[in-house]
Amino acid sequence: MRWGLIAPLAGYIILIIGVGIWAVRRRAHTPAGQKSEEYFMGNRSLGWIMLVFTIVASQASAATFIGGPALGLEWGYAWYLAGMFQIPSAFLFLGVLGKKYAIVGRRLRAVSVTEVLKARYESPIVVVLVSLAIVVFAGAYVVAQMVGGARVLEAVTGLDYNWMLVIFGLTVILYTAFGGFRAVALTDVVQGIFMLFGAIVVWVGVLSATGGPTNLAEDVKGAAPDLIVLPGPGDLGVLMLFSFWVLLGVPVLALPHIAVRCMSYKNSQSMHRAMVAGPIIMLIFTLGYNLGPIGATFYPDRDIGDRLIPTLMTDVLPDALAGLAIAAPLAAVMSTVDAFLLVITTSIVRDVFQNYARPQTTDAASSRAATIVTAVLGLVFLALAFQPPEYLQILVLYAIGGLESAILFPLILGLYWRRGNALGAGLSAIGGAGTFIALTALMEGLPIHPIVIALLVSLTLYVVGSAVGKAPSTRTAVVFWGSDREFQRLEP
Amino acid sequence: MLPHRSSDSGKLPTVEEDPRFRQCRKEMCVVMVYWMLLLPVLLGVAQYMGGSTQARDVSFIFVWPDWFFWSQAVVALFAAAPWFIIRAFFQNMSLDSAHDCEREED
Repeated sequence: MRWGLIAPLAGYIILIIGVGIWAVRRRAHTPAGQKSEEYFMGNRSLGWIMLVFTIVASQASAATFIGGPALGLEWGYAWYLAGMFQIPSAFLFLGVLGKKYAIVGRRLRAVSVTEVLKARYESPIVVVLVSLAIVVFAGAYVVAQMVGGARVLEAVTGLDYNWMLVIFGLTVILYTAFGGFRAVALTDVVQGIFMLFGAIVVWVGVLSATGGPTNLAEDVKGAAPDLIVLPGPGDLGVLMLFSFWVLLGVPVLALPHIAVRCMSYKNSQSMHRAMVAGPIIMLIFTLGYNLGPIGATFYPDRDIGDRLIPTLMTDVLPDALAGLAIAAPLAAVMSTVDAFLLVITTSIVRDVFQNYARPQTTDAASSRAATIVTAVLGLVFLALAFQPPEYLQILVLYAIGGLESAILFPLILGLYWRRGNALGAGLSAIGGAGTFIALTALMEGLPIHPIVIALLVSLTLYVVGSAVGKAPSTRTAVVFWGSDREFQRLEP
Repeated sequence: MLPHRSSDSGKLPTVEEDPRFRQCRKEMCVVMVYWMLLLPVLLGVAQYMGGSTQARDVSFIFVWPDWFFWSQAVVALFAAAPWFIIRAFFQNMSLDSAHDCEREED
C-alpha cells in the first residue's frame, strides 16, 4: 500500500465531504414551497462558476480521464483528434438549448427534461418512455462508473477494490442524497479544479522525467511511429471522425444530466460567461490527458490499458502530488455518478410518482422522498458494483447513444418547431433508440458510428409523425411561444 | 404542473410570440453554424498537414506531431471564439418576464 498516495486522496475525499455538509446545511434553510426546486435544481440560482464546472465536470467521466486517454495508446493522436470535438461542449449545450429553455423551464417550474417534454407533448407515453430509458440506462451507467473508478484506484493504491468502492461510493451517495443539486454543483467546482490541476501537473512531471520537449518528441517518434500519423492504427477515417463530431457535439445536450443544468442558471449573464469559460476548461482537460503516445515511451509493451493515466502520474510525480493528481479521474467519476443519480431520482419521484401516482404530494414531502430515493438507489447501485451482473455491460453500451437518440429531436425540435407533436416525439424516441440498439447489437464494423444513423432515423420519424399527427394545443403554443401576457392569462 | 388539455383541430394555434424567443432562435442558429464549421475546419487542417505523411517524415512542434499541433491550435481558436460570438450576437434578457433585450455589456 502506498500511503504517500493514499493520504492526499483521503484529503480530497474529506474535502468533498466538507463541501457536501455545507450544502446540506444550506438546504436546511430553504423556505417552504421551494424545497423540491432547491433539491432538484438548486433553485435555478447558479452563477457562472458553478454552472460551467457542473456542466463540464458532469460531462467528463471515466472515459475522459481514464478510458479515452488509454485508447490513445492503441490508436494514437488520430483518436485525440476525435476527442477535440468535445471541447466547445458547454458553448454548444447552453447555446442550442438557449435562454428559451430556461424561460420555459421557469414558466413550468420544471426540474427535468422530462417535465419539459411532458408539457410540450401532453403525452403520458412520451413521459413513461423517457423516464424508463433514464432509469434503466442511467442506472447501468452509474454502476459502470463506480466499477471503473474503483478498479483503477485499486490498481494504483493497492487498497482493496471493495473498500475503495465503499469509501468513494458512500461519499457520493451521502452528499447527493442529503444535499441535492446544490451539493452536486458545489462538489463539481472542487472536482473540476482537481481535474484542471491533474491535467497541468502531469505534464510538469512528464517533461521533467523525460528531459524536456525535444527529448520527449524524439522518444515518441522512436517508440511509437504508428501512433503519430493519420489515420492511425484505429483507422479513424473521415466518416468515423464525422461520427465523433456528432457523438461528442450537440446531441450530448439531450442527456438528462446535461439538459437539467442548462436551465439551472440565475440569469443570462451567468449563462454567457459559462459559455465562454467552458471551452477553455475543456481545452485544458482534453489537451492535458492526450498522453497515449507519450505513455508508449514509458510502457513499451502498451498493455497498461486503463491504468495509463494514474500509473503515469505515480511514476512521474512525487507521491503527494501524484495522490492529488489521481484525484482528477476519481473526481470525474464522482461528478458523473452524482449527476446521473440525481437525474434518476428526479425521474422516479417527480416525473412518474408525483405526476401520475400522487399529484397532491406537497413540496416538502417531495423533497424528503427525493432524499430517501437517492439514498436507496445509490446503495442499490453500490451493491451491484461489488459484483456487477454481465448484462450491465450491455446496457452501458447502449446507454449514452440510446438516451441521445431518444431525446434529442423531441427536445430541440420541441423548442424550436411549432409543428412538432406527440406522435412525432413518440416515434422519434422509439425509432431512434431502437435503431441505435439494433445497430450496436447486430452490426459490428460499420464505417460510421450507429449514433449517426439512429439520429437520422429519429429526425425523420419526428418530422413525419409531426406532419401527420394532431397539432399541439393552444396551451402548449402559449407556454412555448407565447408572450408573457398570453402566458399569464392561461388558467392554472 | 399544467393540467392536460385536449388538442385543438389540425391547425397550428396562433399566439402572440414572446420577443425574446426570436432572439433565442437567432442565437441558437449562430451556435449551430459554429458547430458545423468546426468539423470541416478541424479535419481540413489535420488532413492538409498530416493526411498522407509517413511516420519518418513527421516533424514535431513542442511534443506533438505538427499536424496535431496545428489541429490543437485551430481548436484553441474555436475555444476562444465564444467570447467574440457572444459579444456580437447574444443579448442579455430577463428569464422571468420579457423586457427590452440589451446588448451584452461585458
